[in-house]
Amino acid sequence: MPKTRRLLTLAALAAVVIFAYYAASATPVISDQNYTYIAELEWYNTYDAGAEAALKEKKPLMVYFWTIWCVYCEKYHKEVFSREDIRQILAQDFVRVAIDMDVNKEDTRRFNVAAPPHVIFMTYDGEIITRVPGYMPADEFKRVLLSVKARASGGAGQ
Amino acid sequence: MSVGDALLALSLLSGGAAALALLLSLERVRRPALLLFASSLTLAFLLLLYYFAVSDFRLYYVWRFSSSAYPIYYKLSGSLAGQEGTLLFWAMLIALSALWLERGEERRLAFVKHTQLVVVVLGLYFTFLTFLQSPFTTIYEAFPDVPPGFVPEDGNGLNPLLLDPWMASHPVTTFLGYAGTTIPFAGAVVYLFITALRRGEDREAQRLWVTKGMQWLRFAWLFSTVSMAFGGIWAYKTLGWGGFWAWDPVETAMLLPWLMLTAAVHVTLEHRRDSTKYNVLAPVLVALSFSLVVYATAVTRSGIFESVHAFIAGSVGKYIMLLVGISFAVPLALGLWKYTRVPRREEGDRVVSRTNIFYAAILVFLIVIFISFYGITFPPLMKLITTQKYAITKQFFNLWLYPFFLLMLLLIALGLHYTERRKAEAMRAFAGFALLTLVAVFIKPTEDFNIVDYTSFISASKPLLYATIGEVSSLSVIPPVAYILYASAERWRLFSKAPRRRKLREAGVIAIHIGVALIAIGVVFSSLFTSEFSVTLNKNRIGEEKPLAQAVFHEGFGRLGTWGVHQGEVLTEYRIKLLDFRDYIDYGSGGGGGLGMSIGEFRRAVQEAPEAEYSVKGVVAQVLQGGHAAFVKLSDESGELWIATAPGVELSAGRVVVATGMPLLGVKTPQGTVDVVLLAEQISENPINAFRRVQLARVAVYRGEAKLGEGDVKFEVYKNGDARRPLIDRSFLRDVFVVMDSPTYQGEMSMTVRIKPLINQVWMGVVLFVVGIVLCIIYDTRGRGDEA
Repeated sequence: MPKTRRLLTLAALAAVVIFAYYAASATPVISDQNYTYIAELEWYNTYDAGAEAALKEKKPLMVYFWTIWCVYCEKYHKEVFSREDIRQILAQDFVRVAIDMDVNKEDTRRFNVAAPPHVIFMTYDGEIITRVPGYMPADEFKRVLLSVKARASGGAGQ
Repeated sequence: MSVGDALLALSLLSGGAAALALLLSLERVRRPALLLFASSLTLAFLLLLYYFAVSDFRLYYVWRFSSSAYPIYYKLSGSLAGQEGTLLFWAMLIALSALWLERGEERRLAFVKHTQLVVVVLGLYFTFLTFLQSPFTTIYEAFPDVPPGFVPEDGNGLNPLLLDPWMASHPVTTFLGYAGTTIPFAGAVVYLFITALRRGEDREAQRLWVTKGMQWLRFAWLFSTVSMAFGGIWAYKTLGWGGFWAWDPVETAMLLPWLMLTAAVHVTLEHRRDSTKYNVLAPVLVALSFSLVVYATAVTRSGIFESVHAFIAGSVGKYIMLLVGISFAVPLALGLWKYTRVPRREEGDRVVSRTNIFYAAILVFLIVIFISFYGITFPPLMKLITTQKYAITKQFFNLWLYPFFLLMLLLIALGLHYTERRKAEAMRAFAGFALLTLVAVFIKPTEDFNIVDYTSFISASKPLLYATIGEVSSLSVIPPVAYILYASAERWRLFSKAPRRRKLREAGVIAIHIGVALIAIGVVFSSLFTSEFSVTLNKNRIGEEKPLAQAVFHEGFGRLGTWGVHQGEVLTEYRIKLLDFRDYIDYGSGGGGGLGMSIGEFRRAVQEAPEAEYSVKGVVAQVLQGGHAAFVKLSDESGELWIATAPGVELSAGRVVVATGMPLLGVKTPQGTVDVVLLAEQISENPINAFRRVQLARVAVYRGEAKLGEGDVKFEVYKNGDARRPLIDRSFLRDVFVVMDSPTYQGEMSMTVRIKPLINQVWMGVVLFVVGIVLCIIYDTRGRGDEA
């Protein structure tokens, strides 16, 4: 191979190696075996884990279906779940479950969810209170959270 | 055994016979066996189409992906909605391409025979996979509990997001493109093997692999382009977030073979001009296009890598992964073998030469392919190894790929511009435009021009390299695009006096490259300069106008003039007006006949015959659970009706149901006494999947006094999912895009309004690109050494 092309090849290889190394070390982890980390909160990865915690803590359950590439999910994370007042409510009054639809097929099928984002609110003993298919802006989402909270504490299990 | 499975078995036998005939040179068996192989698969596929056309729900595959209420084209498109059908279609196309190689006298040549053998073996592999996971499996085999003779009333239906004409055509074009890489793969592998074995070039093999390969490469390239465009248009229309590309694993997986095909077409054309050049690289890249096609299938269907496209995980995943391994290993190993065995002609080394420019461009393509490959492969791999999921988002791709994208555009332009005679001129232009690009990197009227909002996906640490690339101004795409346009004009000047055929082929080449320039501009600016607004409208306030406040992203080229409005700023000049709102049930083209009457019809009928049994359909408006009974309020356009039923019934509001039972007059309900309720033993949820509840809002968007767009925005709730149907009002320089984010909640509906500039330039670019490829296919001059 002539010298110029050899140099070009080496440069390309170097670019690829630098990329792979850098990308592997700089990419953040979004979930591990037990939790998903969204809006600096811990979310259970499976419905069963969340349902168990909800029963123990007697708190309503928010089951959030999402994927990494879903644009509306990103919007939820940035503009809704991370807003301080909403984050507070989520942290204190709800047991949170985040179902990664690419990974947790079982729960996706179980709740018949076709596309992300999708939120299901439940009482602590697993009765569905309401579903929010699609995206909902922060103010409305907060209203839903508050009404779910009121209903769940007023008549849990009804 | 069913007819379908018998046809599959026949194709396995005849395919096997064809392979043996080719291997052992049994000339008398060869043609009949190939004919039988291709025709039995074709018949099997036609049979499957027939089952879909007549909605034969005894077939598990038809039941899963169809509904009797679909119009015929959605019924037929169901045949390619799952793995079984696509494998059959693919096997059929491969068998047909094996038959294509039978044409003419060249079929007697050893090279064609060997290529055909590879094609047949691949076809057999796919037939075997189809046989393993047959689309002709009946529901009685799939569900042993189903009593014999039972025929479901309706199929499960497609995911409602797939009910779109673009999506109906997408898999057809995809698999035509995919299957088109089979002959190039086989030819390239055979060519590499023969030349490596003989330690030297073989004129016949070289001529044949290039001519046969090139015809099919372009075909595959054409259909892959069309298929990606269809997928993009579908995503834009259907997914509701206003873009056409989200770097989801399936899209990215499909981009990989397309990029490789683009590289392979170019490098093979160079090889065709001068057979001593790229005689290892060209066949290897051509063969790898097929390998990446198989990889894309693995990503989509194997269940190992998943995204929402991967609606079902197939049991043949491991065989597809095996094929991925083999199809990568064989051409790479053969390429290496040839590289070490075949002596190369000594070339002089000039730093600037056509060969080196091409080579550099190909390398950049390969880097882009590697980054995309890494982006979809690394997270699932790490997930398997460490159970941790790494967040590779669309910004990851945008950020890493952008610098190479610019370099690629500049090199594409140079490749178009460069001729040995005009070397100095081309290099001056290249240097000039490259310098302009570098300058443009720093020109940012506002922060909104940053190519990537890198802060949103990287944790608090903000790595330096990401911060640096993220700060690059998107204006930097303009100089490379300008260079492509300039180079196109120069090239046209050069060829404008060429003979007609040559000229038209050149017009094709230029159309492709201008298409690339348009797509580049459209892709960058349509996503960066979309103005996005959130607004809440109340369904009861028809005629209400609301200002579109809070530009969430940017205001830019909306009217080609005003930029730099930031998050939270109020743009009072934009308004949205609710013109109408309707909430109704759509029973699809079948009308839902016989499956229940409307509430109005029921009320009228009860007055005539209060003693009869009725089926009434409607949307669940409210559910009240009591100790002795549950009350369900149904509603439709003709009114409301209470249904009394057994306590504990599980129904959620908004679902379409059919309730069957006897009327009861003058009943006390939790909300007072009503004239009539239906005492229903049975409430079945949405028996026909095409039934949907539709919320339709008619809106108009204004800027000042000018109306920017008007139309219907819908949110549809099906039994098996929801679908947003946005309003897209197109004009030359921008689209008005309005989507209902979710169904109404307490009368309010939230909408997202987007003004998207330059999006139609992307589609125009795609059209030019496709026209260009077609011109190149038709007017290919074919000869060698006749180019400038």
